[in-house]
Amino acid sequence: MKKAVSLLLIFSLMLLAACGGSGGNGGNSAGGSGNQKDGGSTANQNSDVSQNSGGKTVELTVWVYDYLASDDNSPLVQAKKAFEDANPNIKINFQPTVYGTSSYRDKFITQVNGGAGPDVIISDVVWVPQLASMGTILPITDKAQGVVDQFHEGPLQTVTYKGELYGLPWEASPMAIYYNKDAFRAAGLDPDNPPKTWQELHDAAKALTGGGKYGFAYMGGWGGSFDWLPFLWQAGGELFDAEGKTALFNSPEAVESVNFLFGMVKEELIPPAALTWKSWDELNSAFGAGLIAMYQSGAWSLNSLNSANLSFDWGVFESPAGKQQATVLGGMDWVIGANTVDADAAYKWIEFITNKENMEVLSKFNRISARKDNTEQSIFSDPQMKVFIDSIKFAKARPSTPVWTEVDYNVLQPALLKIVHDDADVQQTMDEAVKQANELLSAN
Amino acid sequence: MHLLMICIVFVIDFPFLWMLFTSLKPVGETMTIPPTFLPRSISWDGFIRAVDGNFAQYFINSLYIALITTAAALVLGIMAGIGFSRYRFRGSRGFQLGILVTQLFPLILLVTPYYVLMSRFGLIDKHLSLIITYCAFTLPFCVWMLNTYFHSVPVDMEESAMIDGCSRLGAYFRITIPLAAPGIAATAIFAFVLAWNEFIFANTFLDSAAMRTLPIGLRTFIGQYSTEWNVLMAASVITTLPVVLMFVFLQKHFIRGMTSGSVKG
Amino acid sequence: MNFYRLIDRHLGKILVAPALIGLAFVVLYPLFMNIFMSFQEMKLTRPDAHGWVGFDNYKALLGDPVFRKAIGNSLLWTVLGVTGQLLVALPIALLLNVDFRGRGFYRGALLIPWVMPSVVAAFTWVWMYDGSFGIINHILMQLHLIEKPIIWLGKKDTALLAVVIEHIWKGFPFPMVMLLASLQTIPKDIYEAADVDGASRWQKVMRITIPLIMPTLALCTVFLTIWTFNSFENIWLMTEGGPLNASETLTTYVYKVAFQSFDLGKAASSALIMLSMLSVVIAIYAIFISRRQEVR
Repeated sequence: MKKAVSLLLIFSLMLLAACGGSGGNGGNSAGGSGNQKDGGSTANQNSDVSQNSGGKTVELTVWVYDYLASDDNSPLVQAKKAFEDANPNIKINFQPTVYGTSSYRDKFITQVNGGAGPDVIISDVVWVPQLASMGTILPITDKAQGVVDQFHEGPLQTVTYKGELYGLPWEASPMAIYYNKDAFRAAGLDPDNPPKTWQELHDAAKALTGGGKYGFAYMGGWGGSFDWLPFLWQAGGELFDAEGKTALFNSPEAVESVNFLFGMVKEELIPPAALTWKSWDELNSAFGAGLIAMYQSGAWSLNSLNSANLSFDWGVFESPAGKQQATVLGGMDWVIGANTVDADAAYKWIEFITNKENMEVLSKFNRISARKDNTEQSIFSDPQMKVFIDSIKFAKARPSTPVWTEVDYNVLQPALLKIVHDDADVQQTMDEAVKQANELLSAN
Repeated sequence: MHLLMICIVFVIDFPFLWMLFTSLKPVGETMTIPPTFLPRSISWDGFIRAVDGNFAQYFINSLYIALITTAAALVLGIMAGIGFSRYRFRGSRGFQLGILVTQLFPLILLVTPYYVLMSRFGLIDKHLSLIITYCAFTLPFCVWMLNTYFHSVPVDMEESAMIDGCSRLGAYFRITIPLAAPGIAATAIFAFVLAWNEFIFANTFLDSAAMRTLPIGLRTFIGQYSTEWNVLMAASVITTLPVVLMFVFLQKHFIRGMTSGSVKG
Repeated sequence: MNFYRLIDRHLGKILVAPALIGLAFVVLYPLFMNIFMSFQEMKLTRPDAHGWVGFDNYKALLGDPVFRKAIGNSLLWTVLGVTGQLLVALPIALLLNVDFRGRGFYRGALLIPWVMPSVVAAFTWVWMYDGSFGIINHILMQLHLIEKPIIWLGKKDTALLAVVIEHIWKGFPFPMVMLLASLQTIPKDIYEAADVDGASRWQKVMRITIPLIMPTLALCTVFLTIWTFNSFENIWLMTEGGPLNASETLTTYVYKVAFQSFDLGKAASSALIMLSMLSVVIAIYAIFISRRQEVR
């Protein structure tokens, strides 16, 4: 009996410790707002607004990608401190959150729909239209009037939804093509004259394939649409019309681009395993192992390849031209949560972090700013970075309709897979896909 | 016999060994073509970087959440298990089945309702929200399993103890529960592992970095654009082995095997 | 004294109450919310178009060929997964029940697949299955069993099977531990008595062991069925239901509806359909145990 009673006592003590200890001790430099997050059952109640004698202090909760604020030495954290010094009545709490569609985006949606949520978040460019259509982020068109023309067209598209501006673009990451210069030489190609047209790209890929090695690769795990979009636009094709109500990817130009990229699969210029690859790691590693000689990727792969100390000479070149040059845009935007305690303070922060002085923060992460004056970034002197920075002017964003994800994963990618797996007729499959996409677009 | 077991263990633990060796490989050697099994040179870089930073904090967080969840689930589960196996009251069959029904829901759809619930009680960013959630997930199973194990302990044992002057509750404590020890230990390991490895709810309910549990910590090694495989695998080894060792330890001390000789007739 | 008598009389209900109350609280609320939502049009991306639509969601689901494929896949997945786990777990549990030196180590070592975090387990298997980096293809080719690497997760005919294998590998330690615990509560004397009667090893297993662990075995089967049917993370991380819905189960379907299409009404309806399918399993189990009760 005594043993049981003492066990029960210990157990209840631990329970009490769990209730009290956790919230209170949750403070560290990165995120100590655990204590203030009580209730949240009514909107606009997620942070305390504490009164002090000088004036009102606003505390903002800001979500950042985990790796951008891993410790106090992070350039982003330094910038935050500079902001707080310049704005003594605004305090910012970074909450590093794990990047991922379900671990980041869905967590945000759940929290906002639950009545709470952070004040400001970094958002992947492709999530913004969805978040805007759900009402989980705030429009800032009026506030941003003064700074709008400081950013490139493509990145601005990523924060525009139904004519309203929903955030400020921060990072722009276009794709270009990485290539193995030594393999080029071995195949009789000139590494200083990389392919500039489709024909040249195709011929290079063919020359580079053989002996267990392949000339090109893409991330085919879902279907390969992200890799295909540059080619669609290079051919002069379009995904949707200007209003976003009709799908146009069964046009002759679109079919041409499908035949070009996925024709390379049929010609076995692309390793079969690429059909399952879902991460940049696999492409980077295949490149590093010498399995593939060329692949598309963004500036993010520069870090991985540089730290891998590859044994061969490699470089980057701009996306080739079909009818024109084009590439696809990824990146980060800053957006304001719908349940923010102070939209003006929140806007102040995002205008601050996306201004000219703070461009260097991105440079330190080896990322490209979405600003028009990004040519002044210190990384511009790196010839490989220059390729990406120059690519922004012909980089296009994905459509700003909230059903893009649905169309992409449920209609477009399956269509591309059918063409690759089942050798389906391209025109027919794309026609069918356009029909399905139109249904989704009109239902929205 | 040993040879057979070693073969079985090798085949089944092959992925784990693969993971272990990857954690000992230097960065450049992790994803190679063709793949290598054993590392060419041992590098502790993976482990060093895995425990860098807040990892120890995540470990402690996960540990005490898992321990409390297990304790709570066991206490409530043992009570209910004894209640259902030793007593017949109106609706008991219905309740038992009702408990099973709670397991039927796809977990991913429960995230938002649970978040709203925890939010109303001010439990967001507190570990208690997870303890309650994990208890709710494991309890049905614990109740049913313990119910089944208690059923296998004959009622006569308690009755003979009571004849010897023991109270009913005393009989439960001294006879029934110890006899079902293997089942209780097995149920405990189940509850513990569930709380230890759960990610979605932990990630949604916890905001501050210091509150994180191990599964969230693991995900931070999976970057947006690239993953440090040796670090991730090292962290996984650190996440997996302690639990296994704990189980082996529990086995030795908790389970004395059958209590042969105490049951006659 | 009366107080204690009162407790004693209702002890059963008192013991059971805390568990029941706790569960009712955290389960009934989402359940009712879900039933309610299944009859609504609730797309998060169209906040203006919410409203009651009756059975429209259910009709849309049953008319969707992908949903129907998901039902078929879920059933196949569950049958293969549960059978596989039991077929691996039971013999190993029988082996581990034998008293030999060092079996504690083996028990621990065989627990590892289950304890490994599922995201790492999934990634490890994706990696092992890979067509270029994968060790499985490498070994098979070294053994000259195959000529070219098989793209396990990328081909329609092998994708579901490949994930089932990972599922069986990851899940079997749980029934193994459960069955082992059950085996350990069988008193040794029964076997000794059978030995006296001259029973063979096979007879001992079939006539003594299996019947005595039947309750645990049955319960394991029920829980394995529920968990396998509802399992999501490993399928999602390995194939996301692809390629071309080859490994699409009801769980991946629900996830896509809820988090890619943001159609909460439809997601709720899918969840209820899944729930009803599983209720059949529970009903069968309920009949099983009530028959057992009568036999007792």
